[in-house]
Amino acid sequence: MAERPDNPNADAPLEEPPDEQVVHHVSQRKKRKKGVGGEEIELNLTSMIDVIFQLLIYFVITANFQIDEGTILATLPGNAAENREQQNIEPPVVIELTSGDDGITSRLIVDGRELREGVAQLRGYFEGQIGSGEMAKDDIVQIKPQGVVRWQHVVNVFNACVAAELEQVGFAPS
Amino acid sequence: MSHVTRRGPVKPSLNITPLIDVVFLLIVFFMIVNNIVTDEVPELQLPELLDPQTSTPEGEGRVIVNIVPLQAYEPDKESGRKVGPGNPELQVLSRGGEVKAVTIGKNEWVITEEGAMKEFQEFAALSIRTRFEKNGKPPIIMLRADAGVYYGQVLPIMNTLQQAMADALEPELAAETPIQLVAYMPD
Repeated sequence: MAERPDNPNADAPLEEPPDEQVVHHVSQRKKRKKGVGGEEIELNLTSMIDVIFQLLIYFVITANFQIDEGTILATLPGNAAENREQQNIEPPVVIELTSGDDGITSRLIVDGRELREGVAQLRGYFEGQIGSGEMAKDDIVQIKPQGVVRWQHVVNVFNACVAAELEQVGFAPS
Repeated sequence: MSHVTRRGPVKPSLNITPLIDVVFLLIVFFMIVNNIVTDEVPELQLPELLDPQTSTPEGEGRVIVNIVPLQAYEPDKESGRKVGPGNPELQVLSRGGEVKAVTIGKNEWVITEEGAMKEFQEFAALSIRTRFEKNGKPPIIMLRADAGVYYGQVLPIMNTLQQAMADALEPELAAETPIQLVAYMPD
């Protein structure tokens, strides 16, 4: 048996690779797609989807489209007075609204009479007046608030008048 | 010459591309709508009414006039919202009642600035006239004021709005056109 050298090619001259072993060009895209071991690289989208869903839920919850708002019909200051002069009818019922001592609450005076329970009493008062025939639903009612009365109280008085089915409610001219 | 391919075990996979498309569209939709709503109706603490008679106005063409307070509100401890129904009345009404600005859409006029009310009147008249010419009837004019502001500060704005209506419409039509006071709807 012939002795086999440790490295049989050690002394042999370098040989050209055989024609069969020509390396073909591999595109960059394919190289990127395949890893070192030839396995496909995949993008892990899980975390991105998590974030997207979080964003979606946030926007869905915070979007309210202002559906909790409604309106009450009102007449601007001056218009009711002009109408009254044109029609030459009785003077309007005046609701005076003054600020309480604390600057938060308000006092309500209707035709010179104070309603101690405030706006909670106003609807019943007008309904009583209409029921007894002292007022009609189409009587002109003017709201005359003091300058430092909060808008909250003014709209509440307006709302009580509408609830009592009064048809001509407006602000007193300044 | 034919190629013989050898496939390994098939891994089931879910194609989530259309899902991501739809979710992205939804996000974009909500972002845009949120911005539009905020532009048209800024965040205000509206009046909370006892036995509310409020309703949703019907009709085409709206001019929403917002009256913004000078002092901002602190976020509510429970809900975390700065404003909204159910905020403690004391917080709303114990703040200063001064008005900062009046707005229509994206346009804001700081009332202490010189000529601001004149500009507001001209813009309001233009908005009312444009909608009247388009629809053939006066638009719905909504007054959306913060619950805590003083009536004395709202009154000049209402007078200016009335002037704008007189500028934009025939006198009789202007006198007959009401405004709509905005408040929270009942639950």
